[in-house]
Amino acid sequence: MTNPEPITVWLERLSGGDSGALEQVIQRLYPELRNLARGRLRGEGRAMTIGTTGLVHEAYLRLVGQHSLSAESRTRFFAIASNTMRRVLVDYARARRRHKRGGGVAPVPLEEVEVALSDTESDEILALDEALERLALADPRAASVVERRFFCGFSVAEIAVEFSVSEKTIQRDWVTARAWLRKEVRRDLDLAP
Amino acid sequence: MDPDTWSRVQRIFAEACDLPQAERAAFLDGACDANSAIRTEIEDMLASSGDEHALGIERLIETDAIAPDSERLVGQRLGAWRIERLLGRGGMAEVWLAARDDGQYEQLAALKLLRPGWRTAELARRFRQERQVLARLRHPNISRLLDGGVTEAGLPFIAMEYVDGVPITEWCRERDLSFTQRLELFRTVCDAVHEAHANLIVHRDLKPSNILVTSEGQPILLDFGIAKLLDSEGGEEPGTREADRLLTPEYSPPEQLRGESVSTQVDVWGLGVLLYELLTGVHPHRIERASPEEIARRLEQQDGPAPASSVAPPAFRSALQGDLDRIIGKALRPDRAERYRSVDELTQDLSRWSQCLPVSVQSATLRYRAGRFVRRNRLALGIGTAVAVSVFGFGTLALWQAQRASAERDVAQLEHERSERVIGLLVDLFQASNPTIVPGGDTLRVTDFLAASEAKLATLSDQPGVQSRLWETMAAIHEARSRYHEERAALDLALGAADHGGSRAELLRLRHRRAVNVARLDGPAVALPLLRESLTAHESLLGAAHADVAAALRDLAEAVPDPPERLTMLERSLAILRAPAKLDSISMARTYNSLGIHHWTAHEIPLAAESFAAALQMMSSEFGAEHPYRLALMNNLSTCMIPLGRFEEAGALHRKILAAVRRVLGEGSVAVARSLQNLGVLAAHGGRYDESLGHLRAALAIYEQRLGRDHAETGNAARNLGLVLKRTTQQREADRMLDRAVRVISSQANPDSLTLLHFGAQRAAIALPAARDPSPSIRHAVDRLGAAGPPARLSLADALMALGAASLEAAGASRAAEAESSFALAAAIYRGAGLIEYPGLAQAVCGLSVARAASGASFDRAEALAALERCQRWGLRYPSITERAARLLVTNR
Repeated sequence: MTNPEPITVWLERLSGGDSGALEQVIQRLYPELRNLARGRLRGEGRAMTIGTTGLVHEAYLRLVGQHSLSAESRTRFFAIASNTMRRVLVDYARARRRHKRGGGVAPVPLEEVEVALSDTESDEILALDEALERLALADPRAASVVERRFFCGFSVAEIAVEFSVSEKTIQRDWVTARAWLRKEVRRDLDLAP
Repeated sequence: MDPDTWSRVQRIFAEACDLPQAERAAFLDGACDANSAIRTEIEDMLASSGDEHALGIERLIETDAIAPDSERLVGQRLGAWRIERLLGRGGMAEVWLAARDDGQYEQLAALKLLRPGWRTAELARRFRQERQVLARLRHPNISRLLDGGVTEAGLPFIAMEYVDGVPITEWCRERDLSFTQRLELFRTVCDAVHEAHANLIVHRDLKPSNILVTSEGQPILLDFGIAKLLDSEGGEEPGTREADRLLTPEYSPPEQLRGESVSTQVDVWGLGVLLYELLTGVHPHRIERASPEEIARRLEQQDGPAPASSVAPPAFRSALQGDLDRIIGKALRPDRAERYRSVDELTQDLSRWSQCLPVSVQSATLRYRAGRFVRRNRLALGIGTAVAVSVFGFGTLALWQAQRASAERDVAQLEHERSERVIGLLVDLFQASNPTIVPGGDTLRVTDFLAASEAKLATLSDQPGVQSRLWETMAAIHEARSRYHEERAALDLALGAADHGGSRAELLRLRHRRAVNVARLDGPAVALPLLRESLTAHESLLGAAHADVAAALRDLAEAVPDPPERLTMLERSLAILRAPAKLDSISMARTYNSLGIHHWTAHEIPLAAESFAAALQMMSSEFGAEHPYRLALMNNLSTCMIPLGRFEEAGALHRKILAAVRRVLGEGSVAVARSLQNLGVLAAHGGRYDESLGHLRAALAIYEQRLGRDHAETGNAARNLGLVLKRTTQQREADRMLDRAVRVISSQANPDSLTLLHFGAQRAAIALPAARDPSPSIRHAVDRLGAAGPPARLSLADALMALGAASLEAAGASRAAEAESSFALAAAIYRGAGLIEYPGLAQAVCGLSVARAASGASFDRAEALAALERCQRWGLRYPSITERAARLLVTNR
């Protein structure tokens, strides 16, 4: 088997309009982020927090490292990474739920059982994910803003540059979307505000 | 939820948020109408905003989106430090103010920690490296590393000297610092940055908020958070990559914005921006919201900010103008190659500036100027070819020089990189030989530059390759400045050096240059075998279709005496250049120019004008209005206007060209002489002899100096001067000049007997009435010129005019018939050559009328009157003719 091409190649191809490139980028990002997250969440002495921003940046260092990447591709990396980070967490939460339900479903791989997400955490992650899906239907940009803020710690200013709109606009997207998402998650889970 | 509902929710929610709690209910009553669903939704959202309502998941992922509690660590102890308050957050770290708490002594520190959410093992490892960076640096103007350690959770922290100060820009503004004080402050900052560079550390984030000034007035450089270790191996760079996202676009050079690898020149840029801001109060660039790459692109397009002096407060303007503007400009060059290579270079320039020394902005811009000079010259070299058409004998159309071919193998033919290197070497040579340059600021004289460089160059005999290229460059510069003897000396040295291992292409190029130089100095006949040899060598090395072969063909064609052979060569040259792959517009323009000169030489003036116009068209505007080659072509085109009778137009154009040539190529260049010569000829045509003499004398002086007394062009200048002097009272000087011209023309390697014959006829006619009838010798000239066919026809016409005038002078019936036939033939030749507006034709018509009247024949009175009027508007070429015509037309009324 030949060495897989580095992620930087696919990122630049993505800029060049190669539609298959996105899948290639995610195929490299997903296991990286999954491993990093597992490191934070595994076992008895799991960390209190995940720190998605740090994880995404560490993934960047590992995958892109010393390669040079255009600013555009860098922005695209973090955009894809924030979405992939979300998928990693959702997949862990789903695994947790399957594990809880037990039988009737395919056996859960051992490593996933090790990840110590609590029931509440899993439920919240899944509820948030679904609410984000609904938000994306009404306002895709607002959903992206949340994704970048939550999962890779982008600032309002950085997101404004990415979408070529004013910071004020992004700030408004963010504040409204976050309030709405909290409300939705709480309603779904029957939590008090 | 549908988008419409969402945008309504968004709008109402945003407005409600801005209202005080108490007013929200009333606002929602109105805003939501009766839509209770929306109202409930918004009320729930309002109840959910604020960090205290964050979901558990938000805390779990530890997002930056929830501002971490700024009281979080207050009162806690980290090592010997007790945390007092949060100072700020940035990048992957946050900074807390802390006091020493081990009872040893009182000290404050800025404690730097990884931000929540950024605490992965890898990032922590990188964070620790910042500590290593800081540990290397000990400088009074860099914030000091005090201590470092790990938190209970195992996270690293750094304790740095706490600087209680204000950003440098604010400090200057608040204290209303003087120009000198600001500059002094800036230089202290430069020292600190230089210290970091000396330790192989690039700061990469120089901006006012990272340079605080203490109450004692000391600027302190902070925050090496995204600094880069230049000597680190891959992966060992603290904060390098995460920094990519965190750079400050307003202070970042294009290469940093692009994510390219950076050098200490990044900090040179940052310092440039800072200096600009300190001295003008404004940022040099208007950075709008855009991606880093877009910003980089815009910076490069701008090619540098507005001069600092143009935006500075009035009090600072005059100090900034000139060198300081240039110093700042050089620190802010988007292209790294043009920027100061080090902070040291920048501060040295500033020191020299403030000591009022003639500073190295010159040496700093010398490379740039030398580069420009050579770039200019690589095209300017064509000027020799172009302007030579100017030789236009007074009272005659027939005398012109064969063109001196000029070298195409000029600097343009050196590959770009190599010539850049050569320029660099030249500059270094020059700087090494004379570091203080010349007094008088920016007016470094090229002569001084060349003399110093050549002296140094002679010592490089151990590097023949470099030496040969440098001598070739010197030769190109000499050629552009019409110093052909110096050019030859340099070429011989280059050839001498290239003989030791120069490439075949190099030798080919040098030998061709030398052949062209021979054509210029020793005449085409001497150069002809050399140029033929060069063409053969070009063809065998490069193949028949190479653009250089086209150039070699052209240079050879210009030296070839046989017009049909010359034309064939020029057409071959054009055919090569017209091949689509070789669309070299300069080369094409040059061949068209040679074609124009060929037509001019063949007395096909309208065709010549067409070719020059075509050449000019090839030199499209991209080359600039004052491109030397363009000026040369304009000169040739307007020279064609003279025989075409468009004197006023030609005069205006020539004056414009002269001014431009003086500016571009310098007062003493041959191009200037040619322009002067043309203006002198024009003034003589207009009867303004004093003006004419002034121009012609100045032209002659330049020719003598640049080409030598015995050069063909110098001979022509003497001839023109003599012919005009002959019209004045200065007969003795006139004869001396004319004799000298005859001597020079006869001494040419290939004496052109037709030229001498024509000259003789011309001289005889101008001396009328003469003691002895010159008709026999003029008749001889007419016979010979007539036998030479069309290419000599304007000389023939001129000789016929002389014969006619002499015949009228001699009087007698038989002579009247000879005069009549002479004038009739001359008029027919002028008309046939398309010179309908040329005053010579009008004189021929006048002469014809007088001759016919003398033999009792009839003549066209109206035609004669019109012709006489034309003649009188211009100078009297053959006064005896026009005077007789005037008497005839008055008395016969």
